[in-house]
Amino acid sequence: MSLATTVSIVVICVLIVVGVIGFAIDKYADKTDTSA
Amino acid sequence: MNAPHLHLILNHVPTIGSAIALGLLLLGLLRRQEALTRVSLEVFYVIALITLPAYLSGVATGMELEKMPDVSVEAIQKHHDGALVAFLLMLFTGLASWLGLWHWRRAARPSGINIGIVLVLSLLTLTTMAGTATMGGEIRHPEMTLEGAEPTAGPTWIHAASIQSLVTDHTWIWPSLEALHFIGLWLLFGVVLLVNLRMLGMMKSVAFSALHRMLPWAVLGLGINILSGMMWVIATPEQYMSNVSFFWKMGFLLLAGLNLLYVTAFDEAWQVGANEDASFGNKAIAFGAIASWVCVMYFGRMLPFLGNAF
Repeated sequence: MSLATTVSIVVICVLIVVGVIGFAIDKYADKTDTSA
Repeated sequence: MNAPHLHLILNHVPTIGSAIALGLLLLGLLRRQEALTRVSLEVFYVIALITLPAYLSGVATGMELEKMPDVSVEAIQKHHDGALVAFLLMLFTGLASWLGLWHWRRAARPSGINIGIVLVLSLLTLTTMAGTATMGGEIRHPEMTLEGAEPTAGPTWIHAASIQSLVTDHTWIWPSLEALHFIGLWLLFGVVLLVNLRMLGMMKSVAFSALHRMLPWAVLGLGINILSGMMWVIATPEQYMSNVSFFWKMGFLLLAGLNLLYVTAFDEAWQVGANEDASFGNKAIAFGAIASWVCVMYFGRMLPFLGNAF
């Protein structure tokens, strides 16, 4: 596997994890939102 | 002032600071005083910020001490390994505290689960931090070990030297960290810019509270960048520890980190409603925050040019 492919896979995997955490927190914000 | 001097000043803050914050948290829970609990979360966050220069100045101090003939390199490495675990635990305690403050601001009440997580993490952090401090003391003060007793044992499951080899021996790790560091940066700076530009008077029809919910994305970006940055520092400390640009970057990062606490938890920012103007003080803080983050990026970019990295 080339260096570019390995780096791309690693970066995409980390971003998926970060995205899942971010959206989970955002969903959580919906449940408790009193700002509206 | 040099790095060892700075480390001597800062190295007590994570241990004593987290003990004080934990005391405040327990007192707040026992006396059922929410204000006290909230302050404890703020203190945990600030202590986590200060732990960053405490750790980095420790790395620089270790490099200086290793040159001295009468100092055990093994003791320094053990202290570094302990500091790495303690720093990571403090980082997670700080992140959990920040998340608690963010939730508290939005829901106008604390989250029991979050407080429980902060309590467990802070107990672990304090225990590890105290052990690390003892290991640090043992480097130059063998007299503090009781007669017949063994010096404090370091962690066996993580070693700074292993992380160093991991980063330097695998060609894909450094460029992956570079990519993640830049993505973390725009995630962080994008949200910080939105929030602070609103404070300066742009997007006036949007209430500050609407932008406040974006803040976890900024903190996720900050988390990516602290972890990726730490791996570089551990891998090639000589590129950073005598680099003037790196010290400026860290200084501005601390200022910018304090701003993140301000926009997350303080009433003054939260109360800026739709079509309302922020106060002059808030505008000054917002301008300072944008300037601080720009300086963090500038000095990061200048590492090879003003300093000696790469």
